[in-house]
Amino acid sequence: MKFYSLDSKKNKMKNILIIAILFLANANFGIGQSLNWNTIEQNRTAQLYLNIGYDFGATTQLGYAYKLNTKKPIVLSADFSIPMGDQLDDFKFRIGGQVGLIQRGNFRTSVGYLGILRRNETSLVKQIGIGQQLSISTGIYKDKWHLALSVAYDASIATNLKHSEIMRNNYSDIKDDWYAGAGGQWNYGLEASRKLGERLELNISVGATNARGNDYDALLPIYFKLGGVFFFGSSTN
Amino acid sequence: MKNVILSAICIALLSSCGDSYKTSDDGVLVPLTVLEDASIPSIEINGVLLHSEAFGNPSDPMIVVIHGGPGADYRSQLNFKQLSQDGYYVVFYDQRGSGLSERLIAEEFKAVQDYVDELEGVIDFYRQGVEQKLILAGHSWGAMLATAYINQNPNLVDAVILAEPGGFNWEETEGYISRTQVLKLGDESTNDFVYQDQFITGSDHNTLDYKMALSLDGQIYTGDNVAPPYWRYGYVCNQASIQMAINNPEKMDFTQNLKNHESKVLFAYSELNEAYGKSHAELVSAHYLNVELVQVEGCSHEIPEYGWENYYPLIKEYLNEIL
Repeated sequence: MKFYSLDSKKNKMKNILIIAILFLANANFGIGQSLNWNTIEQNRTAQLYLNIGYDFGATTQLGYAYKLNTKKPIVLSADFSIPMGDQLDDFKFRIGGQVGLIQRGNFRTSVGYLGILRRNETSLVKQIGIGQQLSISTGIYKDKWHLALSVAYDASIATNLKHSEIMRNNYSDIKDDWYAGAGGQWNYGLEASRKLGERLELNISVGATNARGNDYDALLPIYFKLGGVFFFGSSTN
Repeated sequence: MKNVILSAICIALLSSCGDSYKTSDDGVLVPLTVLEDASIPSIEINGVLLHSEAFGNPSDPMIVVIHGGPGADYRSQLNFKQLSQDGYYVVFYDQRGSGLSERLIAEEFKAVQDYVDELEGVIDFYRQGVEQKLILAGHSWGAMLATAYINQNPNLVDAVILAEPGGFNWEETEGYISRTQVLKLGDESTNDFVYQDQFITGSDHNTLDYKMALSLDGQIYTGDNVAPPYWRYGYVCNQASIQMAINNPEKMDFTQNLKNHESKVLFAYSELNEAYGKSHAELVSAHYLNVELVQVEGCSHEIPEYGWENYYPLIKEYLNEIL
């Protein structure tokens, strides 16, 4: 097994370079809301979406997206998700947008960026994570449906750890603090949608997650999302 | 859009700099091992530095305490130290890759035989001579390891104290594990467990051992509400050992020669571990010829930590009878 040293200068420079190249190449880390660009362009400017699925836990996600009146299509979005359970102490909030970059007939390619704030609390630790997701999607976009491939990277920028007495009793010198670059997950998958009438659309996303470099993968290295979109606001036609 | 991209690049660059901790830093999230801290008591067995201590008169009958896991440590077994005041020499050690012992890479966990050889090395290190009585006390995986040793050396051990071994062959062990590790996707504790994977990832021992410690929250389906005290879990040891067993289930059979061990074995199961129970205890213990099967009241799987008050008198009575 190879070891990935988070603090080696060589790897740090490599990470910076990779991130910069991906940004400059307009590649997009992280998977945002599944969008059918054709539907958006022919529909209302705003949409509310509700997703359920598995995203590091059985989650429910509620979001809002708004299409800007620009030459290249740009959709800004914000969403909030919580995992299932009996306590409202875990969440993920994402804000950002997607840009439709290339169109050749029914084929389109888009990229997006999301800033992330997430929280998790257990009897052992409170974790607050600041991260970013960059993603790229490419596929066939028709008026009533779309099918696309998505690749994304979710990078942890900084994570604050605050430990409980249980952890402190086991290791009294454990440090409560911010930890830099603590994690990263690639996502690879498919997304699809089907329009139902003027204001509704169903969509689905499925794929696999893969921890960065040689890091060990998540216990369940998959994601799955089934959702509905409700269009409203002024017509874009 | 340019501004957004530039801001994102700045955030990415800033995130790679600064003096904040890394999860891989030594000593910030998990304690140092014997390799980094020379003040931790250690012995070298088969080329691996192990965290180890012994209490009592070295010439008294020797009890070697074998912790569970694989990947846990002997902190939750320290109640056995009380027996050093009863005329026993009590030896503790953290197995390879776990507790405060030296870490190994996954490829170095090739066979259960390495654990058996290590146990033999620990016995040889502390034992004063063949005339000194030898007692093995194992908990969970440690009870399986003790049995693997006895299976190869049925006449070398004078007394055996076992607490809830998963099984003595893979079928029994797999059955028990499947009852203790249940993922319920609508459950708070299960979601807490899997949710953490998006905060921290790693491949270094410091990060992985820390993540394993965090995974104990809410994953105690053996009836224990709180994980027992520990120094440091060994993630790679745990995962590689389980994989080793899955890949070679035939080598997880420790039963061929057990009937040749004629002296009585104390076999304990807990009152509250619903995944174990009397029926599983009877199934597993039946591989031994002569068994005293006891239920320890008021505790679950972590018998040596949470059930000591009731476990200790049973051990004393057994040892007084057999030695």
